[in-house]
Amino acid sequence: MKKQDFQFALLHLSLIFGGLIFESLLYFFAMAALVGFLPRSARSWLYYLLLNSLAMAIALYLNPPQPGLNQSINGVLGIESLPYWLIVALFTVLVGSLVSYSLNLPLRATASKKREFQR
Amino acid sequence: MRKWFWPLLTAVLLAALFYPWPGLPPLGSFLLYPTSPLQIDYAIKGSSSLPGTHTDLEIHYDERGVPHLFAQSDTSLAFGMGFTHARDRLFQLEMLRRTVRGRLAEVAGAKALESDRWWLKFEFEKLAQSELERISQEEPQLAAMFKAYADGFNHYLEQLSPGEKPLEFHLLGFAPSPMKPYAPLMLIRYMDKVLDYSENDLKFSALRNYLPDSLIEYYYPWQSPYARFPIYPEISKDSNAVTKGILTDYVSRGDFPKAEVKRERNNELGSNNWAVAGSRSATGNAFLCNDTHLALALPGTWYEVHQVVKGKATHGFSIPGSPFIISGFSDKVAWGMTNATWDLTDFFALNTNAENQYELDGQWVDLDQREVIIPVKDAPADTFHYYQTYFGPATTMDGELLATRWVASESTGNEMLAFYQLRQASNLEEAYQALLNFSHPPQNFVLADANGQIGMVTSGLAPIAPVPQRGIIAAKQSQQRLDFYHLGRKLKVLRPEKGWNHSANQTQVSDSLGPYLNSIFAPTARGRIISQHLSENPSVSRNDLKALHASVEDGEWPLLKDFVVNTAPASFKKTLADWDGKCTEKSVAATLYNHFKWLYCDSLSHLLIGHFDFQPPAEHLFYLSATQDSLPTKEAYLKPGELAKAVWQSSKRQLAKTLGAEMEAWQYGRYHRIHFKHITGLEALSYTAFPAQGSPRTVNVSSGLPGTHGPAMRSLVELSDGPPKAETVLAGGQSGQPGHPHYTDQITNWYEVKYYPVKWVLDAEEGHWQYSIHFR
Repeated sequence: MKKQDFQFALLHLSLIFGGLIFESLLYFFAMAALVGFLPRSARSWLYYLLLNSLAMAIALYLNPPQPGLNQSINGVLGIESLPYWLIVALFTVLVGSLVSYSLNLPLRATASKKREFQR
Repeated sequence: MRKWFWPLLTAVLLAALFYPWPGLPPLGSFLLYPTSPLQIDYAIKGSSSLPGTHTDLEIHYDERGVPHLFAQSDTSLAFGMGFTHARDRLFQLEMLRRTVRGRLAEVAGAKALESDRWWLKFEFEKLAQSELERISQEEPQLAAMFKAYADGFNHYLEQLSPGEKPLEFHLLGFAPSPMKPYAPLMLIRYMDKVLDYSENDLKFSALRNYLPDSLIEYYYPWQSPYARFPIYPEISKDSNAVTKGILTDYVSRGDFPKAEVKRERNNELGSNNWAVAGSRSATGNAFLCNDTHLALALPGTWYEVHQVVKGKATHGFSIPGSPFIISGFSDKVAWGMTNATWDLTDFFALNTNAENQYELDGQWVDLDQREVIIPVKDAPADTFHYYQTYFGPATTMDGELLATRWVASESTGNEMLAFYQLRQASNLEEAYQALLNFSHPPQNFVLADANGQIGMVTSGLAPIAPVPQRGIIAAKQSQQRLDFYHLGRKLKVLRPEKGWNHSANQTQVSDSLGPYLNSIFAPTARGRIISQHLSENPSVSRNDLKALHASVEDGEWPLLKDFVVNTAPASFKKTLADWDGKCTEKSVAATLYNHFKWLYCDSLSHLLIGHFDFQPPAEHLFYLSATQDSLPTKEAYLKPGELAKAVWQSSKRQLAKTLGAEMEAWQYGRYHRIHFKHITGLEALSYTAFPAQGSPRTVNVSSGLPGTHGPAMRSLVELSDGPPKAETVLAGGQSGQPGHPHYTDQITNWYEVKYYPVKWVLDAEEGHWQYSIHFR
């Protein structure tokens, strides 16, 4: 991995983490979009999934789910096997990754055209 | 095409997440971490420093989550109360405000429309606004406290992110709304609805479709001979001198409410309070005990709090929505209450013509029609019409235009001033004077002071007629609308000679005033037990009082024992004859007795009035059955003993079906359970039902099958020259947030009638706190 790639990965992780902890969906989507757009080069689906998972894990570590609350919500939802916090984590990671990846696609298209042009 | 797959998938997923699916919480905010309930912070350990205008205020929470507020002014204290009520009871306060404003359907849907229409016609929001204007002129300090309370509430709201709002808001998909300064004056009407609104007059008029007047008089007496066990025997006249009232001439065209079986099993509200003077206590100090019987809901009605303003402390139970302690104590005086149980509602049938007018003093007066649009969740808005009339708001019920006049719907008193002054009272007399400001819902206030004195005053307004009457009134004359009288100066005994007093929602007096109070009072069973224990003990100790709080001795057993044992089947006789009348979890006799009583009462009522939902007072039915050889019905006389024998057979079959064939297995704890339900009714947020002792006729009351009503709190206070020694317990917990460590943490101790010692702290530096909030 190039140094620049590593720096961008760190930047992306920070943006995604920021989107999670600001407690606003506007920030969350804005950050996810920014991650997709920056830098102007294509990234794989797995890349976003990994970064989102990592950010989510850090957020949950710093703000651990409250056991009583989780139990109450699981009771309301009628789900015993899957804790609520895990459902939230999965959805959040999935949505964050999809938004970033989908917005990264135009860049991917641009990048492939650029490559064709260079050839 | 393939390049659009991912953006399309994302768009579809986002659309699904943010589409308002009916019956589901908003999925987007519920399932995405930044706004999900995972953001809720219970904050029970540590401290926080918040920006705020009241920098002289500190709030410290102890290990039970009881806030201790230290302030240098009343307004800072009120700000802190608004803040801490919002912090722990935000959803409860939202629902209370929506209920009284008639805006419940907006978040709960069409099923709440009936409630909204009922509340809207009284225009309580408008009334509270005008009351606040009046109080601003008469008691500016009090008005400033209301404003500060709302500011404190709103301050908490402002620093709350969408994810941090309590779970119920996430589930129902709406946000908490800011509070207006007049809200405390509006919210007290909710307690009026719970405690003094009665539709008995409607039912009495409909009752005439079922029973002749003579039988109504017999089964629904103005004062049952057995009920002559008053709170104030000292000021009651000869118990035989009961003046009868009249039943109004009006006969309903139909049943009200519609005749359906709605009798809840053993479900009765009530409360206990009593005091023991220093002259009669083991320590020489005055004691005061209180337990108010309300719904065992989550969250509960009460919220415990310790308030210190400039070093002067008060401790007790507040009601979310009010900056004041409602039942509590300072180092000088203590006070507690039970409901006076008066009927403060009159219904008037209006004579109308085709031109939208009603008759008043021989003239036709225009009906003042009002229209309100009620927003309804997931449905079109509802347009509600009602009329304002001289006799109160009017709506059509069962084809009749009925106006409702209710004490609570008129601006008349200043309840909050009473609690404000109680905090500052330094002796019994000052506490009594403070309570004369209290108008509704009328309460029996027990008092004690640090000089070892005690007292009792029933404070409140009542409509007094020239002749006591019940039933719907055919409205014609303006004088039919009664004036309200404050009875606090009449119904009081300060420093009783016997050295103790008590109230348990029974009648205040056994004389001609009784019928004017126009009510079906609570049974005397609890009062009899309290009275017996206190009168027999010349040196009452703290443990004696705790034992009385915990008493599960059925106060009706002495009246009914012979009747019950004599009519019971042979297989039950010995169990019942040996029974000590205590409704403990293990007792089989308690199951037999309580099930029989409920079924007997229901059967007799059914014989008298069919399915009509207005059962005669159970205590009176039992009194008649235990003392009379035969009872009249419309067709013939019936022998109570024979009915009882038939009921025992049904009872036996029902118990065998529900609890098993073996009688040994019919333990009371299997028959009778307590269920703390969340205010939304959601089972997952409720406390699982558990086996329980007590009955509606025991001091440690448990009402309903399953028990859904009981002592919402208990307090025991001893006042002396030094700091007060008090113990309290709450039914439920301090927090209204499901899953919070203080949501249900007191239920075990509450059930076992154990208490928590009150921390009497005058300086914040002296306490050991779990969580602290400072305002900078």
